[in-house]
Amino acid sequence: METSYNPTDAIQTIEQSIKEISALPTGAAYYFKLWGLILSSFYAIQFIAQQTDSATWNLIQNFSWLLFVIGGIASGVQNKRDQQTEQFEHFLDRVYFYAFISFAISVAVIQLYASLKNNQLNYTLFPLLLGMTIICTGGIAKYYLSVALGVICCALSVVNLFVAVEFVALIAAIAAFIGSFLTGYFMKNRNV
Amino acid sequence: MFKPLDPLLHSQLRLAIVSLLSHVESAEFVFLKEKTKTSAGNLSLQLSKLQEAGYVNIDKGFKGKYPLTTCKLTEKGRAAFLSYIEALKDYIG
Repeated sequence: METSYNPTDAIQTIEQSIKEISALPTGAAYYFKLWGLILSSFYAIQFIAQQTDSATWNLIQNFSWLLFVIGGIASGVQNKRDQQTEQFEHFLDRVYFYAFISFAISVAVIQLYASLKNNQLNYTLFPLLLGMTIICTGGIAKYYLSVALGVICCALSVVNLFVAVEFVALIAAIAAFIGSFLTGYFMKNRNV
Repeated sequence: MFKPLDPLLHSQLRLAIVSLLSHVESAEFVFLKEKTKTSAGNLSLQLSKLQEAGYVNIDKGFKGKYPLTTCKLTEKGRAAFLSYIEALKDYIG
């Protein structure tokens, strides 16, 4: 035991280490921004296609699922880059990974259900699921702006219960932009 | 009566290593070297002591063409770190 090393020094060592780690970004901001753009574009396309009888927009709507393929490829490429450059695995990486995998599964199941039953339930539940996920991850990361944006998403889900059916896709697009893109944007700016 | 402080952790460098590892899933050797501002030789020596005590797992592999050493705190190491903090609280009052 180092005789000159006392408990006060030990506390300073621990505090310093925690500061070092807390100052490091998780790298999640990129994924939040990417999927915020993908999801808001997807729902915006559904909205525009529902509003117009244009054959072009109907065609775009039919192929809008390709956005998810693009998102998947972009995420994969970024993940590969992260693996090459990152020197540590943040404990929050695992939290974000599992939270958003379960979110994606839930959205996919609801999307499938809505398609089979031919209803708009997916647009109503999407902001709620996104809000819940962002509140949980923000709470665990102690990033309370994310929690606030998640609450706005949940509120938009309630709004979707009362607006005219033509606007539910637009509300979902706004929720994706606020809940995912803005969260990522602020995370990047604040080095979270 | 003060609880005894774990002699393995009551060392500036080893405590810094364990504190850093307690806040990440895993970290590379170069990351620990950079954050603790120590030499590779000294870090390697202290990591070996922590590994022998079962506090840290060390994996050696490759990242592309380059050798990669990854360190991870074990459950035993985490428990020892928490006990150490509990013991420290007694000293600080």
